[in-house]
Amino acid sequence: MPLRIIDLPVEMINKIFEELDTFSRFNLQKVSKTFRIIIDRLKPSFKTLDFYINTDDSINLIFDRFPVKLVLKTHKIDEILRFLTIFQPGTLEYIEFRNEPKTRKNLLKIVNLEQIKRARNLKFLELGVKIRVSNGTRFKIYIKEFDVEDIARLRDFLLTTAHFKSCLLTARQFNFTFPRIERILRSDKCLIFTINRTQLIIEKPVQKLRSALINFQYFRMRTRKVCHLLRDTVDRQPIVISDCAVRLPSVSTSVLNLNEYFNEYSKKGKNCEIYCYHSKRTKQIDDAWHVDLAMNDLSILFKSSNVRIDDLELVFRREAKYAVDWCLRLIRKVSNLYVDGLVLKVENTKLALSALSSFKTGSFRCLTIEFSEPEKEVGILYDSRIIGTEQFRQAEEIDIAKYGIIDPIHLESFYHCNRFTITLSSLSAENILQLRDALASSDNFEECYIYLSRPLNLSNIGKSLEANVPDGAPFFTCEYPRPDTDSYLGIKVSPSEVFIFCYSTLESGEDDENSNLTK
Amino acid sequence: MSCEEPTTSPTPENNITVVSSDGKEFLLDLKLTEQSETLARLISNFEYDRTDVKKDPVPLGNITSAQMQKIIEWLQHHRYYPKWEQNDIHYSTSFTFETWVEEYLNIPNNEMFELLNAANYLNIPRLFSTICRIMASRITGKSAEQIRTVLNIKTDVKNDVYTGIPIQEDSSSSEDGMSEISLSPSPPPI
Repeated sequence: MPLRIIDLPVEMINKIFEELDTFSRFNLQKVSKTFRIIIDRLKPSFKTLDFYINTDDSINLIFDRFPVKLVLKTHKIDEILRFLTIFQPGTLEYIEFRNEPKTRKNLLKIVNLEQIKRARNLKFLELGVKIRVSNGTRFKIYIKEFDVEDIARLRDFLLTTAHFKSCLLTARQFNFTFPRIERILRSDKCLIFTINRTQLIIEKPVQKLRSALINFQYFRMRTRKVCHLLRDTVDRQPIVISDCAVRLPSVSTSVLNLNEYFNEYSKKGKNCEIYCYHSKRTKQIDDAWHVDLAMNDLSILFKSSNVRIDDLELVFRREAKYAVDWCLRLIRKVSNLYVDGLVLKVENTKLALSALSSFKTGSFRCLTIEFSEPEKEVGILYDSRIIGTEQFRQAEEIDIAKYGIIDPIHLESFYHCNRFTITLSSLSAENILQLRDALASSDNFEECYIYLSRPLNLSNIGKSLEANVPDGAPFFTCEYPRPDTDSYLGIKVSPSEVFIFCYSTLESGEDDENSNLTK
Repeated sequence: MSCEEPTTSPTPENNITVVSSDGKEFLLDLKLTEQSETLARLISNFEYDRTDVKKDPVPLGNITSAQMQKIIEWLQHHRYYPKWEQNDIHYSTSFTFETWVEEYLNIPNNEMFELLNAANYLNIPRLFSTICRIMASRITGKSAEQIRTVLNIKTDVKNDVYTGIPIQEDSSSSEDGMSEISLSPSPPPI
């Protein structure tokens, strides 16, 4: 029996069909179900697709600038949907819409398609009076009239769209004056614009993008609720936060703090009461658990895969175990999280370990661990597992002075730090000599504070450091040249604390506090 | 041009013998085998490029002597062509081929598919790609019905995808309308 095409392996049929243009593929789809399945799985053979919806029941489709007019009997929105789903998401780079979909519902049908979301150059043209959204880097809008509200809405959208570069608005009439639009668009100096009688060009300077995003952190939360397209657009932006705090002190209260925004979620019977400190407002949501609402808001913040936080404070107590687990899960899910200063206020070492292990190693620079109850007396830290964690070893600055008294055998765990603050149970002459030698040879050491739970014998320490300690002196200082450098290691010892710092004689006296200290 | 009877340079050091499925032997120049990744790897693994190694005939169970003859003709013609790169595939809606290639592949579809199988088996990318493009050129610009005629297949689609007009049923397809070939590889027969 002669060999037929359907006797070939699918991979070989794919190779043949990949050579075909779009219209031959459409015809092949009609040949048999087998072919339709194979064609559906192929990547499209063109890069651009334009739809022109005509006033009659027809749509003009343009593939790679090769126009074909198709007369469609069914509803045109559904036809667009059907055509778009032919293509694998991300393969269409340019999609253009010429007419407004009839209703918002239909618009959402289209914008929810993965093909639209992932098209880098998307155009919605002639969309009527109200401005719709676009995720294109440059786009044009033709409408009859523009009013101030449209511009303000467009500005808010443009500021939260990271890859937006410019847009051209053409209208028969602009219902605003030049100073008014200047006030709207140039208020934060994030957008520049050019206007003439019928056209308005808005552009975003690239360098302003970052500051715009920082200023609109709160706005982005509202923006992403508008529709799925906006939500995805917003979620792709990197988030930069200066201050963030998650306080989960009890089962009945959760607190979220984001820059100047401070929300307290508390339990009121079966309901949740949200108190917003920034706007001094209280809102009650019926039949809602406060943890759900707080964590939902936090998850919106951490939705982005790229989050940078300058100062993050986490307050965890065992009582709020469920919320703590949820919060840590959210932190683990952020693929690219960097925290400059992490403050952990925890009830016990287990919670501290859970929190630390939720961060990727090297994802924070400074680490401070304290007890969640500030009045709690600092005791001996029997469980030293925290010191052994990789996250701890990669931190550049560490402050655990208020968390526990540690044994001097752990001193070498801090040699890698730029700065550290600890409380030691004791410090022998031998310990301080080892510490001095290690820190003097460290490349990055700057300063450290060592508090002591038991008073030091100054004369013994002074003898080992070869320093002159007058009888009855409250403290003494000494200095040692650091090998192979022009800098010195200064040591100030008092009965209750040791302060070691690094300073250079070449630096000016005005800027160098350490030099002043030695004087 | 065939290597079947190597009269020009019968130096056994530079040749290997391949045996087709019907038992016919072909003497192949090692230089030609470089175009086939399958043969090139085999020669490299068995060190057949060395003069002191005994060269056993290489059985090619999936290829008939007629196909082998055709393939050797291709290899001879492309002997001095630069090595085929994946990037050489350039997308173009118009199909243009060398005159020699058009004459060479002016064969019925069933022979073309057999040659495609052979090219795939021997892993000769230039031949494989060219056959795919020739086949595509036979399909392009044709209606569904014409494609059915060209490819000698019947439809398993009940209604047209776009117009909804009923299409003649394919009696050979299964009752539940499944495709004639399986999209996932089936297990080998035991």
